[in-house]
Amino acid sequence: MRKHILLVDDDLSVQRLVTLTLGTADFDVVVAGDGATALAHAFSRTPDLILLDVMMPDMDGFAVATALRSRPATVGVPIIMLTARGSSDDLARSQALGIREHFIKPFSPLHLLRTVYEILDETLPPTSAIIRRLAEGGD
Amino acid sequence: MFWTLPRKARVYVVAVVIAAALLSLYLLRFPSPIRVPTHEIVPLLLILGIASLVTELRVITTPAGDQRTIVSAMFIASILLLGATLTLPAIVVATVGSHLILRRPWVKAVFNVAQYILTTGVAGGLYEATAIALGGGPAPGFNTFAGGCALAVLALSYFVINSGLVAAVIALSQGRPLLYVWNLANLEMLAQYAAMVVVGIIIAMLWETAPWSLALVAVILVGVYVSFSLAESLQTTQRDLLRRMDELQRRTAELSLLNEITGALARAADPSHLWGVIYEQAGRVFDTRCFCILLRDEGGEAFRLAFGRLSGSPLTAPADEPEAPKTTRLARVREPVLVTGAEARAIVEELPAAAAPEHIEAALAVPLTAGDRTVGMIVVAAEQPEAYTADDLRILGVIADQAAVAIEKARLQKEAAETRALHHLNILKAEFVSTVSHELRSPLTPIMGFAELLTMIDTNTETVREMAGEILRQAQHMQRLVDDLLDVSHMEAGRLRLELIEIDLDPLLRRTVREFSRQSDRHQIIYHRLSPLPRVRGDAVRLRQVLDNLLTNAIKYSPDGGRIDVRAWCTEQEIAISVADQGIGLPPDKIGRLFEKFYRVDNALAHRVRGSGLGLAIVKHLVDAHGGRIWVESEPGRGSTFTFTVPILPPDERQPSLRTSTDRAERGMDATHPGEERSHAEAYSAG
Repeated sequence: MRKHILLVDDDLSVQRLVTLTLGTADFDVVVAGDGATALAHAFSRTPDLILLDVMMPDMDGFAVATALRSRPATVGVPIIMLTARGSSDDLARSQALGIREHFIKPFSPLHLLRTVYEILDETLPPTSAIIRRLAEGGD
Repeated sequence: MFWTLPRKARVYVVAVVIAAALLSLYLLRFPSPIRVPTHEIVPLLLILGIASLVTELRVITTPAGDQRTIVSAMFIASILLLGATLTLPAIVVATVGSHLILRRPWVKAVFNVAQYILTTGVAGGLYEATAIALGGGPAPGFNTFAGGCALAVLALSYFVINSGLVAAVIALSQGRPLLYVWNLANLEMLAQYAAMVVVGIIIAMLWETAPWSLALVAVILVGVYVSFSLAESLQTTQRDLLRRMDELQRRTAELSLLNEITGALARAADPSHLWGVIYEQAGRVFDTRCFCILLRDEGGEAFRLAFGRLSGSPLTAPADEPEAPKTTRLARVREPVLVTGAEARAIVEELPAAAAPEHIEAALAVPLTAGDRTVGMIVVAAEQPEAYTADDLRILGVIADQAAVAIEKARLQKEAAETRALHHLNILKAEFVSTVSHELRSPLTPIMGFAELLTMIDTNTETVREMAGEILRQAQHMQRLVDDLLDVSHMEAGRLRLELIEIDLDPLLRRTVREFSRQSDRHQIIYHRLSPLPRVRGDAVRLRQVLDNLLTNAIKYSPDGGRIDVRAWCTEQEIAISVADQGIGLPPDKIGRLFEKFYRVDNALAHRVRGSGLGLAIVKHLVDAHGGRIWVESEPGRGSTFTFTVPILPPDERQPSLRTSTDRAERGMDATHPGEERSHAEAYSAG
């Protein structure tokens, strides 16, 4: 069964970069542009991993994470934070919410891909395969 | 004493003495007639001798300051009873005795003897001559016409000769006209002599009618003596009291003045307003027609004019001399001074004012002292040599102390306001840098991400790969700038904190060198571990940042390639790590500023090499924060060697295992780490 990943980011370019990167693998990626949509998705179908941007309008990443942790269905879902910030406060809040990894922007898409494989406990395909998929357009 | 007198006075004294000696010889040869019976002579001589001595010893100071005795009354009584000749022993006993007891100068005693002999001899002679001429005989009765006239002649002549002889010696020794000196004492002396004659007559009459009543005279004399003493001590006490009252009044006035000054100074919030207050207050006490307040700029030696008044109009600083040129005399003033004459002029000439007052004869200069530093000076000057007193100096000293306190207060207030403003500005700056760097990071994410993916895609078009590579490089450069700016911003705000744990530097060094070796084909980067490296307490991410910076610089500043040696060794207390290149090196005069923020060596290559100029400042800060040191040895054209140290953990602090630390360093900076914001520079720079 294909692993289900929820990407939450309001920046279209970042959305495209991540979907393209994750598209090289056999993942089912769902994109949400804001916190409310993300929570609606997550509660209707529990994802295997959530990539969550911190700085978003209306509802920031921490608020989304807090909401996710409040439901039994999503309390254990691993979260990777994508953020341009990295202050001690943020990191402390992340720790309290049980967030696995922090990717501080700008990050390497390949490194993100490796981390995603690691968290989902999947075997990373050889680089040549990834490159081939990438050249084909990520799908 | 004799030889200090002017020559004329000396001649006069000698002449008086010789004349007195000659007159004595004459008197002894032709003794004057004696009024009393022969058996009364000895007791009378004894009584008059003792009375003369007692009255001569009892000196009275008149309100005018002259010294007087009533010895003349004794001599007149003696002339009337015993004649001029037998008065001589009384004269000698009184003058020589008082000379010995009161230790008067001998010349004064000799002169006094001589002038009393002359006075007594001449006045006595005139008395007898008058009495005989009027038919009263040589010793007429006091109640006869001849006796009365003779007495008047005696009194007048005694007065004229006695006071004349004394006035002459004073006039000659002081070089003043005789009449002037004589006039000064005339009226008072006249009254005195009239009284003396009366006393003399009373004594003589008493002796003639009832000799026993002289005992009464003795009692009266004692009474006079005692009352004089009492009067004098009362006078002294009164004078003392008056002086003290004066002093008290002056002090009270001074205190109230100082109180006003202190209040006015405390109310003067603005230092420039303060000067006017000081000027006004000082003007109430002494001459402030020439008044200057000079101030020293912080750290400077020269004084500049802060406030100046010359006869009420403002004094200005000279336009052509921005710095006061010579203030040697002023600079030496450490304590309040009152100076006159040439020294006062020397101080006034040094005033940094466009117009200096003329004909200065006196000046007060009081330093304004804050802590142990002279921050300024108050100078007042006047044309009269006696314009200022020690009291004025003291008051100005107190004013200056108050002013210095006010100046210091104003300075601290200003400093506090500046510090607050600066602090606020720093916070704003840190916030700004933080915002800008976040804003820059967001667009960098897709730029760098897509470029990375592009470089990986196996297309046949070399140009595309090249273009993607360039985008990536430029973006990486931008990212480093953003990181550096953020680090410096945190450094300045004191928010750059280290996550100190026990780490092993050897694998960190090995890995870093390996990664940098892959970056440049033209450079041969070699790691030398010169001795075993014990564990240190440090922040692995930050130490890696230090190494990255030093290696990046070594590569940048050796554009022709060559060897880069990374050496690590252990000394007693620290591990030293050096990065040595064979590049362009540094001129010696630039080394000192190398670790300053935004500083870049100014030469042709440095202009081609890009950089924010923040790297080494950050490096130094990080090394300092680890308790280490950093220094550089360099020679133009021969390369540079940067060496930094990290203190070794004391053996008792070492712990057996700390997985996370080395782990984190091994993984580079991509790991999540609490405390600081870092980007994934590793992922890009390694490739």
